[in-house]
Amino acid sequence: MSDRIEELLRPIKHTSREFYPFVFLLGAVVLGAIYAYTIQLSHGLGVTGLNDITIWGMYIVNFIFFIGISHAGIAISAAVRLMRSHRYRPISRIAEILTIVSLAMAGLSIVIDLGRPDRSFLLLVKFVERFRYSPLIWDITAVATYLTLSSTYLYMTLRHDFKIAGERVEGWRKRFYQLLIPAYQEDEHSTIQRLSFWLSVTILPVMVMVHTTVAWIFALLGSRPLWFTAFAGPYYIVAAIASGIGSVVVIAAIMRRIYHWEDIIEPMVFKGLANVSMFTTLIYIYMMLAEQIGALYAGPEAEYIVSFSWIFGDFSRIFWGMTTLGLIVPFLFLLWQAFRPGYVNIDGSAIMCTILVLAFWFKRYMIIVPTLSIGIQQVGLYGPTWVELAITCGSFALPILLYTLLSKIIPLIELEEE
Amino acid sequence: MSKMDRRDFIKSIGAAGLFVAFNKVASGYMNIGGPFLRQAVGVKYKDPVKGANFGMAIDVGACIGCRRCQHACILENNIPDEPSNMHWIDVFQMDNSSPVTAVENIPPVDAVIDYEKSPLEDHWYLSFNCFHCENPPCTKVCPTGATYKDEDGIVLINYDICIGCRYCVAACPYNARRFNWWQPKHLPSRISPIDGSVVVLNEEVPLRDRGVTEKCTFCVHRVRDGLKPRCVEVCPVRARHFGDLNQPDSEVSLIVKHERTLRMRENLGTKPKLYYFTRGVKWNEEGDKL
Repeated sequence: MSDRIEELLRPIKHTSREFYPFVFLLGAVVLGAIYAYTIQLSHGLGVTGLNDITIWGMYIVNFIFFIGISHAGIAISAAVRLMRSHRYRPISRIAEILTIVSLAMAGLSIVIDLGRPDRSFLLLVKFVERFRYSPLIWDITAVATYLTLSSTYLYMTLRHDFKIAGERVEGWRKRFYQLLIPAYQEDEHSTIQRLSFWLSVTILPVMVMVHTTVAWIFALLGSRPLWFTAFAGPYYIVAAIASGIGSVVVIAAIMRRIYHWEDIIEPMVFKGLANVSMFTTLIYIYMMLAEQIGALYAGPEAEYIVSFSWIFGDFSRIFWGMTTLGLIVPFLFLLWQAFRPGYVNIDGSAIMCTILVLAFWFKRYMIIVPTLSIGIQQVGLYGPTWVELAITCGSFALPILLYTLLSKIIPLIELEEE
Repeated sequence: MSKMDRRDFIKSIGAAGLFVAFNKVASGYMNIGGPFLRQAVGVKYKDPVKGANFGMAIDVGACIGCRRCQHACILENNIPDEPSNMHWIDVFQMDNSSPVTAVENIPPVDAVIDYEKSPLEDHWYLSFNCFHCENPPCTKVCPTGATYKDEDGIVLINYDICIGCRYCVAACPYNARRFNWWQPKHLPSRISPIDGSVVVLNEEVPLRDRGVTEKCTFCVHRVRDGLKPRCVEVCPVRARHFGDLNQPDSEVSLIVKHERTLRMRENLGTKPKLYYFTRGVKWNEEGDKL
């Protein structure tokens, strides 16, 4: 038992030599993004490739992408808790931290996209007045609720682990862990168990709402071809499950390899998660087909133009690259793996899920950019500038950096089995 | 134990109530312009005309595409020189042979806005500005209420509480809105391309800052004083008509009543108040270059 705890606390107690250059590299990318953002702040959003026709670009793509990633964490963890599935317990906290980090990044992406970030406090001031009308406010409400519930959930389940970790480290870190658990009581465990059970019951519907309201930001604009669909909510939720669980597979595989947790995380866990990702990808491909056939066959003008540009026109390279290499190839690999009983290729699954997650980023690009740039007026060509690319690189580096740093503070796997 | 629970419950209700109260007070405070938040109140338009519902009608048959309306609008409304694409009125040169699609993509692919000479043979001109819809999709989505439809039917923007999310631009089916991607630059005085006179900045129209959305206001500062919008005033062929749709004898009401009018993308239910019609008269002057 104590061996296991020692093993799980290894990331906190020991830091390898490779850690510093890795953090330094990520930090450099983040600093580059901050520099790019200061340029954007001082010159205006004109430094991006956006224009009056294509008004949203990579920042909003990042926003939807991170909201999608954030799906997985608490969903897995809550499902594990509700279904009492012990096999998946070791990865539940890895997934929870992913949720918190990517939700924070989604919020940050929206602020980066604002023309006047200095006035974002108005979103709070005008909240009650505008709640009846603006889907953006609904989304902010849903995301804020989700973030609050998730971080409460994470903190509740962490308290006990902080206590154990505090007993096993020395010096200032001991004090640090004691500061993290104010008013700790020895008998609070059962209360927290009950609390986190009800929190997970609450979180699951909220999570559905988060992804639906994100979809509604776009799906409630009646004039925008391919955004204005009734099935936008389910469409986004399926993408979120596929990309979110895909990224949990990737991160869990990396952590397992780096920290030598081969005995703790069972290989079959990866197969189970990859199967979920595989199946939702299949549903997603089917939904894409359903969407495109309607737009192309019936052919209302705006829908037809956008859909045509997806499949045959200006955006066809991104579309076909994303669909074949990004969705179908990982799908086939994961399907092949799923049909071989007792077989699991963790590295292969991780690589395929990486491709899948990146493909979903490009899918979000396909959702946002063509509809805006050719949907109404056919003149809004958009190509990202270096500022946007730098900020996007930073938006990817920052969550990885945060995750890396958090892994030095938070025990990534629950220390005590039940 | 249960007593504590109840107390906590009451506390949380209280917190929610406090948040609502904070909102009510804060947004009321901002609406009347409290001293600390004066920066965030700023734009004060004249009081709306009681009982009015302003609308516009454009005679596309008469329009010669001279773009005097566009240039007059630029000078009247302090539209910046730099960047140069911020003008609120677009005049599209349309090919006679291509069909007009009032339903989906507007204007059609082959329309141009930066033509040199007008009017040209076999072409006609389609003028666009904000349609000031009865049911505007842009004001609904605004997360801060910066854009709103006033009582006299004019859709306005409070530039000082706009956070620049551009959701209204995405919601507008007519691309009527412009976003300040750069810090707008104004020359202290400009030469009017219409009559060559020197024009200084208009003090009645607030300057817009970087990072906010702007669009046609129907010249709210003139209209609420009983004047016509500047674009209507300068039109040499009287293609633009403006008036109160609630008054049955106003110019626009008569046009809507007696002419065959068309509104853009009526299928969206936005009920735009910019009516297009043609009396079939085509101005036929050679090469009016502007």
